[in-house]
Amino acid sequence: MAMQIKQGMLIKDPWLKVNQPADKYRDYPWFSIVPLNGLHDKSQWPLPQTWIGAWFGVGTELQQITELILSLPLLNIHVDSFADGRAFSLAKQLSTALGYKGELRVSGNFLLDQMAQFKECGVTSFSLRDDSDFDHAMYILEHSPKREF
Amino acid sequence: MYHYNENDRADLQARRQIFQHQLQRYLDGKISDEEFRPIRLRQGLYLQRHAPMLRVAVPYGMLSSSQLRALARIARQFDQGFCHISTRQNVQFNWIAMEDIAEVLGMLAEVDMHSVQTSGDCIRNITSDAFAGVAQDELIDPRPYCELIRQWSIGHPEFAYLPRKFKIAITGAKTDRAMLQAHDIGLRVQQHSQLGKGFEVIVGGGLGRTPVIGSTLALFVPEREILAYLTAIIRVYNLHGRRDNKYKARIKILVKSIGIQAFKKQVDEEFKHTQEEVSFLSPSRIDSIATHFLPPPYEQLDSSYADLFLITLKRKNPSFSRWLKQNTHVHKIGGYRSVTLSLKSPNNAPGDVSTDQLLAIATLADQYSFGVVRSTHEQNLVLADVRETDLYALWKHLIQKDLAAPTIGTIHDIICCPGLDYCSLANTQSIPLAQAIQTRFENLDYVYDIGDLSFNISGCMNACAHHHLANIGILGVLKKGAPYFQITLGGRKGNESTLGKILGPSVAEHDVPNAIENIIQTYLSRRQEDERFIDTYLRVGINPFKEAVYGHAN
Repeated sequence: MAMQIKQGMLIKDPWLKVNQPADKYRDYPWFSIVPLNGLHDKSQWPLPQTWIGAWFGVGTELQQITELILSLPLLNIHVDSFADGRAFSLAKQLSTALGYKGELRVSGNFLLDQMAQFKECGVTSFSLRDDSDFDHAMYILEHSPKREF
Repeated sequence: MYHYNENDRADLQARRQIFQHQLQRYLDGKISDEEFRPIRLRQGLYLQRHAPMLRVAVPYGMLSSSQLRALARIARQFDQGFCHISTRQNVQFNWIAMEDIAEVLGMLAEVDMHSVQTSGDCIRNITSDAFAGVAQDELIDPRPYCELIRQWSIGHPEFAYLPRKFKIAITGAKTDRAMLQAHDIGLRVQQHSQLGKGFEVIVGGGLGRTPVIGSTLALFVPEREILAYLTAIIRVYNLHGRRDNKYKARIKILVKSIGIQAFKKQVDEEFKHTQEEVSFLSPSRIDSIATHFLPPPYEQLDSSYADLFLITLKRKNPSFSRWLKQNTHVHKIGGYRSVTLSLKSPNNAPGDVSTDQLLAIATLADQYSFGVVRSTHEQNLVLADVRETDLYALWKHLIQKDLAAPTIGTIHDIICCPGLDYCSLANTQSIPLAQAIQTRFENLDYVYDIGDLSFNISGCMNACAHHHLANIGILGVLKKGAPYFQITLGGRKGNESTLGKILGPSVAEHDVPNAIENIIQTYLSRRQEDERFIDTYLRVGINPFKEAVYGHAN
């Protein structure tokens, strides 16, 4: 089981990212993080599983995040390149303009040094590689100054 | 000027400690060059030709005398006894070893300075009018807003990885001395008869490879909404600016590609959200910042006495008279003038200032100008509040330190990037060419006869010396590996910002002084009465200058 940092704590991650959409949504295992295009068929909602999340890239338009998607307990922004700062604005829009209240996660090729910035943009959990420097991740989260604005 | 409070210091301390931690991880080989690069750049650390270049932030060009002394100590201890004033009012060191960076940042922090966000694809240091607060044509002092936006933009979590760097300039004067239209965002502080204070917002300006004059996005954004409005603009840019090609990644390209109206529509749409999420600016917040920019304790001076005093000295001393005319400026308070300290002595690279000079300027600032110095985008320094009766004594001191070249605003006052002598991006050297031009025009009477003229030299198309906006602009290019220089004419900054036009094929390095001499001679032979170079150019067009340089107009 991979690790995640959630609410400032390093814990084992119960979630598993699924890369391929399934034809039948009921086939997704519990605690799957499913690609966004694997959840668009409204006729298969409501989902039988309580714990399903959706993942999507940083170029995702807000219109693609429907009310149904917002009802999921976890949304996961997947970062291909740490230099692509759209991830921060997308997180901010999800947590403010769309008012998402569930677990907002970042995964992929982000820098541990960016975690405090993600947190300030509304991200609540991070999926970390097994070889991550967890001490540095916690250091960044604990020591980064918080802005007043 | 703004004085840090305990929160500011704690914030700076925390950022510095984090960077030291990150630097140590890099030095220990725990992170790659690629991963460390954005972290290093956000600390103003470039890998240059000789050593890392450290760019120190000078917020909107304001420096205290104690900060100058700290810069002098760093220059002496860790550099080669000098530093450089950049065209964005910052200070650059070129010779600091990577292993000394942490100590240097510590020395800067002791005087409330840092290098955060002086580089990288983030919101850079806020720039402003070097005569803010003292200019006679100023309507509203922009510095409290500069400080507010500095605080808002430092460490902004959402905008730390933009498609490209992002520059904001602010002015509150009738004459734009901050080059608003050459910035990603330019803000002009205004007073509305019903809505109170607010801003004209200009967007999408920039120089570099694709020079663009910025367009007005909003005629008036009320003061309380400005942070939400800026957030909306930069979010639209962050989400939609190009990331596939760094040469097309600035906001100017986005605005040009979709048009200012379509861009405005997107910003207005986003503004609906950002108004909800960004707290409105409370009057108390800006009032509290404004208390840092109250006028210094000016004396009630008898201007007529000062006038008499200066008239006598001017008669006795033509050199002083020339300096007074060229290097001092009208002040909003009677009996005071602002003084530009020239960093364009032919003995130095344009914009360079030595340890000895820094220490002397700090003392002079304490003695004559309330302990404050300003840096200008023209790469000079300013003592903004000097009693007219002190001008002669100040001039004497400045002469001793080679800071009184009486050539501000002339062909000698060359804005010049560091060029190939330091910069790893440059195509050509800039500094030797600046010195060659100064040597060619060494006769000061000739320089004064030529009169007002802006002359800028960029060593590559990144255009750090803003050559597009110069009356005469020079751009270094390579032709089959050899340095050549492209000449542009007719550029203007300020309220009528205009990009210069390319005169013709680029010329070899050794031919540049002759070409410039021909251009100047053409101007002198065609000018009418007291016409400035730019006015003659606008009247006669580019062809006479082409003929003078190339022998024909085509």
